[in-house]
Amino acid sequence: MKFGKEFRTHLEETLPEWRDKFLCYKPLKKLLKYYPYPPPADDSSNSDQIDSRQVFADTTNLSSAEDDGVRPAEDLQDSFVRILNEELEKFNDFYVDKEEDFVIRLQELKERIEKIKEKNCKNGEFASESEFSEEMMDIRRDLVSIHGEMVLLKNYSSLNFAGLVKILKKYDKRTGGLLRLPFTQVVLHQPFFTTEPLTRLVRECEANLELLFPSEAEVVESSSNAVSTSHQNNSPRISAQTSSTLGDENLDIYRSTLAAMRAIRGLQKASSTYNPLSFSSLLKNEDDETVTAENSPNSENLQSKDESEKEDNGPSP
Amino acid sequence: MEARPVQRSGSRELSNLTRTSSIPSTPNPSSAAAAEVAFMRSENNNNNTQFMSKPLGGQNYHLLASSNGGAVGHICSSSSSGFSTNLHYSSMEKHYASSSSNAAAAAALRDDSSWCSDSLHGGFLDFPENHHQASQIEDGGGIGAAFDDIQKRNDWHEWADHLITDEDPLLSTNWNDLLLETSSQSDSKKTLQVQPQPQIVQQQQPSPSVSVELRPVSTTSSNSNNGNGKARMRWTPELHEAFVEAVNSLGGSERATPKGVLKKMKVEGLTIYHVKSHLQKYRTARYRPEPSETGSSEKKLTPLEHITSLDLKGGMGITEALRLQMEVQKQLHEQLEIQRNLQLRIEEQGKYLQMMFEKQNSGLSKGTASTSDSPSKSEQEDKKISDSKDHLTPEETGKCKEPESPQPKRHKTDN
Repeated sequence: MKFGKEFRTHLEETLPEWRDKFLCYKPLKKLLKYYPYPPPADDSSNSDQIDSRQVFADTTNLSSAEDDGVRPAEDLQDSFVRILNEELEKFNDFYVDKEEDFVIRLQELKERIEKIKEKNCKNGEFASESEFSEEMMDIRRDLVSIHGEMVLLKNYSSLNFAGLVKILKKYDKRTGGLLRLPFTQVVLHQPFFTTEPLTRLVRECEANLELLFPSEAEVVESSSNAVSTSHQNNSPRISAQTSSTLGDENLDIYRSTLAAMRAIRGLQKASSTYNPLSFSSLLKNEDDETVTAENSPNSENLQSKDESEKEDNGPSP
Repeated sequence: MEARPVQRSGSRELSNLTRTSSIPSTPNPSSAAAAEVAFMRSENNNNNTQFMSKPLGGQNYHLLASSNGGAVGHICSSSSSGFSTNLHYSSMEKHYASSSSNAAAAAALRDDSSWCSDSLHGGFLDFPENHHQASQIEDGGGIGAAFDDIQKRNDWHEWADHLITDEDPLLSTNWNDLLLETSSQSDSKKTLQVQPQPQIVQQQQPSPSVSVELRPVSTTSSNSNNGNGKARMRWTPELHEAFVEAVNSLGGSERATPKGVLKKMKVEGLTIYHVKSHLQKYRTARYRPEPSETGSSEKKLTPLEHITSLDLKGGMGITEALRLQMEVQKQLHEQLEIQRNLQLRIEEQGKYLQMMFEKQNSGLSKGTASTSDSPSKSEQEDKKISDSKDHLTPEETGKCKEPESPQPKRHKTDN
């Protein structure tokens, strides 16, 4: 539940153009929840991309031809997999498209930087200082923008991945299937999740910004603390202050960035169901530094596992 | 529904996985499939050799970054995304009877479009290796990360390799067998790899010259993609640089034509559709900055307005605001990196433990098959497994709960 909420909140706050490019988590969840019955007709849900009624229709058509029991599960799997495949294609297309844009834009920015450098080198002094600084400011703003968008794209990738894993877990839980692990392996290799080229672009961007505006380095320490607390508590205030400076585009990006941070923090918090493989457990472990058999979450795990196994072994033959 | 590997760039991934026959069927009925398999194996081989040493691994990855005139891009037939069961074979197929040739289909079979981006370049290194070794570009952080990622993909590819045949996939996806085969056959794979390799060398002889290559898309197969042309191209900075050079040599973005650029670039596998769309993007990206420089006034007023209004508002200048924004973005990026690493780790653990369980299961089932069994005995064996699971967990720092959930279910089906 928690993830769904975080996910939806983030969707609402992120860049508008991106909203429908995310995973259709809620509809999928609904599909699973009401399986084997069709999800209730709902105007809001129909606006989402998967036509869950259609999916159910598929499953019922096939299942009516055969015995019940075995077939519906397989049909659901097929439909489910098909939907997920389509989602993957959507992600990939969007991601690769955006990546291409970034490559082009970044290269453009670099060209602009070169041009302006040349201009300065040619003349002894700056041809016109205001123009120069104007242009520099533009370049800087564009660099920050593109950096922001790239990071948001990474967030897009990460969030969708997390959503996929979650929905696959739910699928397995609901239907007793074994879809999660293999499908996840497929997802790991999708273009939208192989973000290394994008990371390199981001680093390049950061490097350029450092070069051009080295004063940022000094400000890093002092502002980073301020930023970390401020954006948690005072983000409304800050955004009010910065709104007029950044321009609309950057403002959107800034807001989405904050939303993404919140979403990530939300994911890191412990959820209602204990899970040693969750971020929270792993991050807790890392904080502790020493993970021994006693104090690892596994030790608690062992006890609970023994109990559950007793349950399993009891009634089952 | 089956056996069209040539066109089939599509999501064959796990429908392939359901095909339990594997290496022994290497002499595939169609030469296309043979090329695929051979291609992949050779790449695997390359990958294996490449990844032995870290720098080479980095080099492999950074083939993308090589500046030896070897700009490399990758065709990622997006249809190669996805995981399909058999029923959807035909539906997927229509999408991307694509530019994927055999080799691209091979890429697709990898269930891995990133195969295009990373592992394929392992294949590249077959030929232009000499060139690129000289021009290795260093990027410490990137290499490390890339290396790890590629290692993982490599493993995955190795086992996916086994399962590619032309036979009809089984309807029931039988993951147990699948994963078992992986582990058992990983040894035999190596020897079998040797044989197809010369074959691939002859088949695909891109000119090892400076000209840019796109490995996966050989021209051998009948590319029925000309209608679709939907294979997604993943534009790397290097490929884009080559593009820009070509455009500039043709007189600029306005005057250059897609056809001319395509010819100039000499990148195998790049279609005119790719170039067209990329050129369009390029033009729009260039168009806006230019007018803003010349057309100055209106545009430049707005930043000034912002500055002045800001001075009134709170004394945070543009630079401050930008700096702040940058800080937040950097933080988010860091968080994302951490999260991504966690995600990868979790999946690795899950996969590893899953395989362990599979192994044990196979051992168990072999044991039970021989004896006409009483439930009590199987209970004991269940206990054995759970005990050994307990053994595992302290070693693994306790990340075994996840694979447990499938485990009891499987037992139920067995019983």
